[in-house]
Amino acid sequence: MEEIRKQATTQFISSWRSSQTKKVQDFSWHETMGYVIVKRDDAARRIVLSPRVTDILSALGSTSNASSVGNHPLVRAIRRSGKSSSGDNDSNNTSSSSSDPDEDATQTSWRPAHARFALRCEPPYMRVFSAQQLVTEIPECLRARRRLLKSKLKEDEMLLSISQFPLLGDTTNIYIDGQGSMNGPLLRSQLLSDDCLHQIPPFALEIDGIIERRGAVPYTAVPVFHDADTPWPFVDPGLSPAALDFGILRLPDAGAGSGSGSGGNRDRDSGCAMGAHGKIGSNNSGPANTVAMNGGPPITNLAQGRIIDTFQSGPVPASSPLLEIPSNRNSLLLDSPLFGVGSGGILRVTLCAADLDEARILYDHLAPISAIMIALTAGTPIVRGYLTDRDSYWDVQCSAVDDRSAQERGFAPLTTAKGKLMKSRFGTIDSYLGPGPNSKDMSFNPQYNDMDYTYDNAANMAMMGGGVDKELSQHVARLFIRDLHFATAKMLRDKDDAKNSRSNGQEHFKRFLGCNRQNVCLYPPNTRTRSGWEVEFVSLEVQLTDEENAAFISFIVLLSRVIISYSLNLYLPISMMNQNMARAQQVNAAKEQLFYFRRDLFSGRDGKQSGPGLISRGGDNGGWINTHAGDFKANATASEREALGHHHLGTGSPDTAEYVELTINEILNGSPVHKVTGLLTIVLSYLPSLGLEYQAENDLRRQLVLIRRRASGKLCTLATWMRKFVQEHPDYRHDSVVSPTVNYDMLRTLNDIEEGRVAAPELLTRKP
Amino acid sequence: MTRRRVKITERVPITPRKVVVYTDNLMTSAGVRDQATGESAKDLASSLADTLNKALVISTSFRFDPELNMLEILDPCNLRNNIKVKGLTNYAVTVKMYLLPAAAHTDDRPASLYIRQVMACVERQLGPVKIDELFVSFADITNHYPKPVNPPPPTSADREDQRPPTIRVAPPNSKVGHKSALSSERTPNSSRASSSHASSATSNTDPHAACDMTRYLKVWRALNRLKRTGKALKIGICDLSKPQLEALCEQSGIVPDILQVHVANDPTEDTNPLDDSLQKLAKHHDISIRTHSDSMGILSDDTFQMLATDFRINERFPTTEVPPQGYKIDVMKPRWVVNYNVTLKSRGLVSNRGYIAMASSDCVLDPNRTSRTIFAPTANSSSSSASGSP
Repeated sequence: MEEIRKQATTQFISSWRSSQTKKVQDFSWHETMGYVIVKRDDAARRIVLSPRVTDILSALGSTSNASSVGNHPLVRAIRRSGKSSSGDNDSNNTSSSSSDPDEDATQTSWRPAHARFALRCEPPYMRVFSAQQLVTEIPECLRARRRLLKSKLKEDEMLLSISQFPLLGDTTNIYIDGQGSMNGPLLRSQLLSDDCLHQIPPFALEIDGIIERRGAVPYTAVPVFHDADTPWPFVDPGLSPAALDFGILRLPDAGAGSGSGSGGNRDRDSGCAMGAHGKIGSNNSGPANTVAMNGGPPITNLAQGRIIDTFQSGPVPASSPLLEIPSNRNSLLLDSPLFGVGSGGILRVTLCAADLDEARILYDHLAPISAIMIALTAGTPIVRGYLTDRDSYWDVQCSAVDDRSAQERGFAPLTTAKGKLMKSRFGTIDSYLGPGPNSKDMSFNPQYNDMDYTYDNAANMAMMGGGVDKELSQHVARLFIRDLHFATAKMLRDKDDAKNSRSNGQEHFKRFLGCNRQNVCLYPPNTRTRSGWEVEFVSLEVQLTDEENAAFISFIVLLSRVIISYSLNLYLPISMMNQNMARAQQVNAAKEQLFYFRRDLFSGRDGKQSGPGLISRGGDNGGWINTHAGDFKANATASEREALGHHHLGTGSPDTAEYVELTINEILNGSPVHKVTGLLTIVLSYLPSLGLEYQAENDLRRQLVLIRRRASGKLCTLATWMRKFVQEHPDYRHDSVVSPTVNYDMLRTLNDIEEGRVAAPELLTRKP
Repeated sequence: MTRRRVKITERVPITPRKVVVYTDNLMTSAGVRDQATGESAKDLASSLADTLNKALVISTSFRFDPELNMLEILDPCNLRNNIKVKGLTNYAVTVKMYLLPAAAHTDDRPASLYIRQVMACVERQLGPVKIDELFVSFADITNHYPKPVNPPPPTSADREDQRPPTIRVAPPNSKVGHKSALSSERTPNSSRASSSHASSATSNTDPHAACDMTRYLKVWRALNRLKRTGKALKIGICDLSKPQLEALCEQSGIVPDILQVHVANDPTEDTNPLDDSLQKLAKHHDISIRTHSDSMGILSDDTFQMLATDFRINERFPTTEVPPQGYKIDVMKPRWVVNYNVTLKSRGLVSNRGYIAMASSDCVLDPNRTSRTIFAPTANSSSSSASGSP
């Protein structure tokens, strides 16, 4: 492991060096989308997942099979090897863009996801940016792709782009076609049968690696929505910590599926961590629950919904938010990494920057946007057949794949682990990169990186020695602190091949990148496709229709142009960004939540701050009255807030404060109250300079209207729609349970909406 | 009185005082905030104020250009020729010139002299670039551009507020009395004609009067010369209605490459209705239709005078010209505004964007020979027109 890490470091330094002088001419980008395939049983009024992705992929002509995914993944991918778990920055090639969407679709690179009912796809090449293409090509391409995919489905199957199948892991109903028994040797899950997993080595090994490394089942608690008749306090009927031996890992029967050379290289500390953990787990029972929970749903963060471990004798302070067994109080438990990775639809946008400096700008300034986009794209109100108290899946996804060992989570004294890690592998970014050392951009302030993070010191020193500046080197060293989940002897052997033509000299580094996923990710230039540094925007939730997806893709792409053109300054201290992420996942966050945001997006690049302070609102009754909340008349919670006032913190005054708490509507559409210029307004004012044809510009504006209306609350998010559908369904008994029949009706309706047979004026701008 | 003024302005030096202001690069300057509000008039006013403040108050950044006989006020932050020549091929330069009401010459036609000025100033700012797209916007066409059929209530209210002043301002700016009377008479006709034309083509005589494009031919031919000589790749014109476009093509024999139409930068609107027949005509002539969302009056006389007073331009730069007996040098009126846009096409980035505004003053007959108040004529004329228009 250390050997690989060392090589990865060297690889990074060399790729960093070689990229110093390069500048990419064209701006290119691509999207990554994921779909879920379900099977309909009209007679039984039931919809279950359809584990036929392998068949469908082969029908699509994708050659990604067991052997290719592991090593050199995709058909036309000239890109990196490594695991497709991250599978985000593969598949580009420099072929020129084709205008025919159908032809385009057939060239799409399809690849499997971890689950057998989900699949991913990317365009076969990086799209070279043109604004025209955003309106003409993208929606058509997405539609053509969906048509193609649908043509390979059976009569009773449906293709849905939703971020999670509502019934996945339901303990009382069948959720997957041909469901087997639980607690199989691969997933070791009480909730998911092994049928769910796409059983090819990289996926199996990764899931296995997560569980193994953590030394315990990675529980995730999802707070349940408290409806009128929900038993309260809610106890997960399907799974409880007691039934699971308090999270102690049940050792599986020897290595089914993990045979191919993974064991040897695995970090040894998981072994001892496991032992330490066992003890803690059993000590840790009832009392701790009540301390942490205090009843009621958690307020800010999923983290608070779980037990805060009070390991007194350890080196870790008791207040540490590190978690052990999640509380089952008022929460559902999930017990498999598969809940977090590769089990649902996804929507990601990868942007290729001209050079490292530009990539750093994009990375830094897109990160604070991710919370806003989560709230706008929220689409996962149902997990395991229950309505939850969350609208989106981000935290669940992050904690489900949390592979930190007990030591890393700060439970057990540090003996073998390198240090305490604050976050899961998937999560928000730990630090901003700041502008490059030669940049004149003064907007970055090291104080924005106000959260602790742990990085791999050896790698850091090596990179600093190699000339990499501090922020970048720590960022990469932070990725290197994670262990790979599996490593084959071949990987090490490959170092000798590093100079041959097939290799791009980045395999190891890419592998480390692949097992970290943040709300924005930075990828180094691909030496073989000659792409530039890439930034991937990960936190969008996939939308039901291609129109919506195209709109959000367009918005992110245009926003990236605007950020660079106008030199926008979107920096938020990491701690505020984290709070935003937590708020973004609350029910109806797009309408009701307030988000920290920079008040003046245009200042600061020259080093002058607009003013200190933060204005937060909605807390106290002091300050002045919020006069602009009239948009929220229909909304009880918001109108309550209207009655509340603003509260000034610190020295912030309304027109000069650096940060303000704003609604999504104010962030995107602007608000006169704090002289806030809306992001969308800026994007719209940038459009004319693109010199678009009338029709194209109109179409583009129409796309953005969707986002504007979502932000203003005129249209609801998919999550709100689903919630409403369930609650208004005659079969729903107001106990938060989403029964198979409700699920059936909902997914059918969603499918009809997507295919245009049912109008959903509250969700879409589209006319029926 | 107005007739006599015509003669006089022909005899005396036409513009004894000329000032041209070059703004900062608005992509990076602080003035960008107002641009993002989508109101270009506000954007322009604030960026001009910003530049004047920097160039005259904070530091000194102006020079006299003997070649153009102009006083140049330069933004100290905005370096000239800052497009790297090496990367020139990747850049697309779009220039849009607004010929303001005061750009009309003695014969009430927008003078092509200003086109030469515009080109010279743009070249001074950007260097010897090739202009990819050159638009011209005539204030009196743009200001009377028919509004969308069903405008949303908020904006229509805004625009109603905005429109009357620009109309009111127009007549006193026109140098020729009888012709300006004609043009103001034409105003209601043109808007009525074009709106009625959209619904039913019943009125045949009115559109014809409204669509008399002869006033603009000179400028339009000048633009075409620029295209022929290769200084501009494409030329475009803004806010023409269908009959106007037909008339322009017919009378000049020069078909524009691009027609720019106004779209409301308005969130509440789904689509911006555009006359179908106009679209067909454009397609027939292979004219590409572009959009803009500029304010109706990009720079009104009042706005400029406010700036001039605030920054004491008249006092700072006293003119050496001596007006003949009985005449005085009028206040400066903005003649044209140029908005240039340098985009990095392949990356979709806007790298430079700014305004150049030119204002000059005429020698006019001193209406009140005893009065030395410089603002008297403006006050008089605006009040008279205000009383006259309802």
